[in-house]
Amino acid sequence: MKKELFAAILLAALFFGALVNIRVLDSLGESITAIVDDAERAARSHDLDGAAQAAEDATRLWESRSGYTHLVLRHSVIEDVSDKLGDLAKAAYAGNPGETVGAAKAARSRIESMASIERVRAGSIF
Amino acid sequence: MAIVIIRTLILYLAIVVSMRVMGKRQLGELAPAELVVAVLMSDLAAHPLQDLGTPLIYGLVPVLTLLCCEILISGAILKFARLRTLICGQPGMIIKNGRIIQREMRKSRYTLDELAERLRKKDITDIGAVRYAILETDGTVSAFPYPEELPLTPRQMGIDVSAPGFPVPVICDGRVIDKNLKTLGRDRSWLGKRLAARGVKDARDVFLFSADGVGNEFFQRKEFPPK
Repeated sequence: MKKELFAAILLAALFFGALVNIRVLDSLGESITAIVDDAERAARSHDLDGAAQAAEDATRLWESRSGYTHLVLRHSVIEDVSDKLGDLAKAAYAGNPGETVGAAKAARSRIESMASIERVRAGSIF
Repeated sequence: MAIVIIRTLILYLAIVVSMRVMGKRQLGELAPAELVVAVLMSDLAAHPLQDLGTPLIYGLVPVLTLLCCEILISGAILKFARLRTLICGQPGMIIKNGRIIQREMRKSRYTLDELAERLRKKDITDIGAVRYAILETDGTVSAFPYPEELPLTPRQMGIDVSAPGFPVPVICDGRVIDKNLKTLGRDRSWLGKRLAARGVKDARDVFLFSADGVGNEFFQRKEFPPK
């Protein structure tokens, strides 16, 4: 009976850990998306320095969590998000507002998909 | 991660049900749930090993989930007999009073060739000699020949045979196993005498020495004793 109890507790702990992981990734995704939105708004108002600064902030925040993300996300996903944030910064530094807005949209879409893939939904399961 | 756990649970249940539906003939000597765990675990553990871009947790979490499933289901099987029947199935009698039960053979998808093969493995060449045969839940066949087909036992012949003891190794490859000496109720001084009787001074020169406590011993010297 002890073994079964241990197994039930372990299974519950795994599910709890999974739920915490969803929460953490959601929160990280929301924080980065908010900064990317700032970059997009700045680019729309032709404040490309502000957009570049926001892109740098988003990259810094993303990289500061690399210890965790490398544990729970496929490395290809991590690199993809890094690339999208890099593209956003590159477009802002290049001084092209249209390209910066496009890069911000692409980055936001990738971050949202990174967070949503962990959410428990029929689409994610099957 | 939650997706990994849920997918593992779905795969586990799907494969257990599939194995159960496929029937006993597909199984070796494992119960369906055990076979599923064996098949899945090896594959799940291999992915993160092959692809370094996949976090180790993607292999560990499904393996732990399967472990929990296996422990919970085996525990539940012990407690609930109906669940055991549901997951492991029931033994089926395929020969009754010398008559092959064709309905049971069809139900278990068991062919005559397979039945003959299983019986041959039990040294039974004539199906007609079998009174009862049962297809067990692990896919093996238990066969019970007619009494007149069974080999004679010493009791039936009225022969008195002394029961041998249980032999345990006392020296393995030059190493004395004190625990087994104790099991025999002997000590090292007894061992020294037994070796001296065979002209051996050092236990390290012995490859194998076993004894059963009722006087039967097996002794073999090392062919190339260490210098």
